[in-house]
Amino acid sequence: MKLKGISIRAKVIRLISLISAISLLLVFTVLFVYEIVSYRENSTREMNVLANILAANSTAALAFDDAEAAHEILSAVKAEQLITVAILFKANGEVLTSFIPDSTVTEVPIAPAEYGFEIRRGKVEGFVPVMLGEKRLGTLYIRRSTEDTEQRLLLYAIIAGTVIVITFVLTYLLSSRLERAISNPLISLSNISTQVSEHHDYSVRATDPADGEIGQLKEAFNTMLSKIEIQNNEIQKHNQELEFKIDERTKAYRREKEFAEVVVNSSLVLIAVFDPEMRFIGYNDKCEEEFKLKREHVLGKKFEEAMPQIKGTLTYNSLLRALKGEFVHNPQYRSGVTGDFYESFMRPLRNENNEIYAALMTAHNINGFIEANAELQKRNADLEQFAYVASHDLQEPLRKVLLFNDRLNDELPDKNDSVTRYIDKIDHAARRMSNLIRDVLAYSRLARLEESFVPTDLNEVLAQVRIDLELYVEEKEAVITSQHLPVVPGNTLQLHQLFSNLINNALKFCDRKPSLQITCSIASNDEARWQGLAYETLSYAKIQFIDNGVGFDPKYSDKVFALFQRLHQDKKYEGTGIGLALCKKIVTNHHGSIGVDSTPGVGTTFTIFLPVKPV
Amino acid sequence: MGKSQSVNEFQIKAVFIYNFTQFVQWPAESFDESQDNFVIGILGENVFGKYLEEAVAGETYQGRPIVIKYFATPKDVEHCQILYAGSSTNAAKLAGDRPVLTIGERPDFMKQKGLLRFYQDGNKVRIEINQSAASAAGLVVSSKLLSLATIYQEK
Repeated sequence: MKLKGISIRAKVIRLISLISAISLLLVFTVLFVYEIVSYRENSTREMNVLANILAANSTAALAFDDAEAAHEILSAVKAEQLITVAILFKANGEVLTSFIPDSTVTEVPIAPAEYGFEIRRGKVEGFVPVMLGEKRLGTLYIRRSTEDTEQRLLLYAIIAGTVIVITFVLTYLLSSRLERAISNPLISLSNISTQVSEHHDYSVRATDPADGEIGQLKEAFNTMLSKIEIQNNEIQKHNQELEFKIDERTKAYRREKEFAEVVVNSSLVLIAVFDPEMRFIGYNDKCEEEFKLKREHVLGKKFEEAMPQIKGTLTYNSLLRALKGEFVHNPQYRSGVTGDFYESFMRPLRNENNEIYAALMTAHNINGFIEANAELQKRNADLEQFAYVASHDLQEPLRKVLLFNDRLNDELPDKNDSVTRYIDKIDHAARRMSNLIRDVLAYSRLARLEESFVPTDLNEVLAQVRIDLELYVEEKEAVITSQHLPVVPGNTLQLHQLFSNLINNALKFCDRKPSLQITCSIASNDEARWQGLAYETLSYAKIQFIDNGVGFDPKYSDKVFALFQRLHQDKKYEGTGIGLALCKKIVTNHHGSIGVDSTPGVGTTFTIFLPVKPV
Repeated sequence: MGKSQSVNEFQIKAVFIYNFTQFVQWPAESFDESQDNFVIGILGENVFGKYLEEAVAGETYQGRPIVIKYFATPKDVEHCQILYAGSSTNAAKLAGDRPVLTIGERPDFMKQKGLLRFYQDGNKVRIEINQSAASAAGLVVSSKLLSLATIYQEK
């Protein structure tokens, strides 16, 4: 019986009919089996009882060998019409007497066999012993026909079949009526739910009267509908709120996007963004201006499609590196596209999963800067050449001034005080000028030094300077302490001069017992960046000279490194105004930087940064 | 059994006598206190030869071994439970007051207060019993035995 794809009505009817038929069949089968089993048990038991009674009654007849009496006893079973054979065997196995009312019976035993009863086709038969006390007098055979039972069982089966058929028909008719009570409310519910699902109308309700589980189902259905209706309303309300929020967010997002676009497009820096396939996904106004290519002609295209000459250039390869996660800084290169000089940065852009989704290129045109720089360098070189030549040529006449002034002093008799003082002044001024020229010469010579750098142990440099200044240190009763210093790539003579000048300054500009601390540490990236150094590629040693000298007003911090700049006109602090300019020049030559911080009356701190690896 | 009367008549009777022990009940007072056995007495000539001894060999009556005693004359008769009188007729005298199943052969044995008699019916050995006398003597005869036997009616 297929139950799929048929109506609930048919399902209920079929189920009820099937169940009643099956249960009846089951009941009848059980009864039938029980009947057969009990018949078998009863018939053998009855036969046993009957046989034992006959056997007991036959004892005397057997004992006294009385065949007539025995026959009479056996004939008593005439009343039981179904007994077809009864035979009494003597102890020696001979037949004493037999009772066979129907002469047509066959298979009559001629000798006693094993005791006990058996049910065979159409008959129950068996042997029992005839006992007198402990003594066996003989054997009784008895057979009974089972026609009656078979007929009864047949009748039974006919009745059962008839009852099942009638019940099935009745159940079918009755359930057809009864199922309406069950299925009508269900069909009604089904129709309503169809209506709900087709029209999304959650306001309908099941109204058919029903009780019991169907009634509960209807109630549950209505409750569910109510809840869905409420939830539906809430969801719609929530949706509206959500839409409003999304709208707001969208606006805010658009504002932010526009803001970002304006900022990006207003930038004087070229900004372009590339996806992992090197396609343009960002391109600002400055790029349009520089490359003479409109945004719409490049966005979505590959870099090499938009600008074929770019393939294989530094820019292109740097972007490939950035897409692999590297930060690339190209300080100066000539563009293959415009022919101008640029400085550019390529950096990977990562999403929240730290995966690279794009590379950002920022670049600026340094063409003008390069040109100005070249011009400046040329002029500087000229100036230095001039200074060298000039100072070298100036030394000669100055030596003559000093020489003849000395002779004048020796040979001029009767000098009065004024003359002596004038001669002294000439000597003093000339010597000062000589020093100046020497320093200028040293300064200009610095620029000309093209020696390659060697690893220089600053501790050794410091030790040498200490020896050079030993007398001065003793005279000033100065205390100089130092931390361990690194080995840096550099020119030993220049670094010696740098240390010498700084320590000399610390001792000179001090009106008490000088105390100088030299500290050293590795500069952090931030510190290096603030100094304008190439912090991305190099690491720097930060060396500080901290003294307790007279100090100066911090507003002059920028001026102190300028040539011929003297802060102290006081005779007490002699100098040419070249020392710190020399220091700056040396540090710059070494790709480092120098700065100063000072508090008048407390002390001055010079801070130098030097790369610890060759540039 | 009983095919040749002349040879087997007493053989059958011997078996019958034993069978009586199974179909008749003797009262308890029929046994002396000192007596353990069930006694079958044979008066006069032993007509059974070995048959009777064979028939009762190893058999018991209610746990009592069945034994056979032979009495030459009526004077010799001792206490017993079954007394085969043979051709003798004075059964009452032989039994005295005791519950003894007296068995005879002669037609007038029953008139002489005998309790049981063998007689010939064709080639079959039949039994006649005086039931009332047996009951009076305290013997209970099984209905099964009675149904086979002829019941003697006193006149």
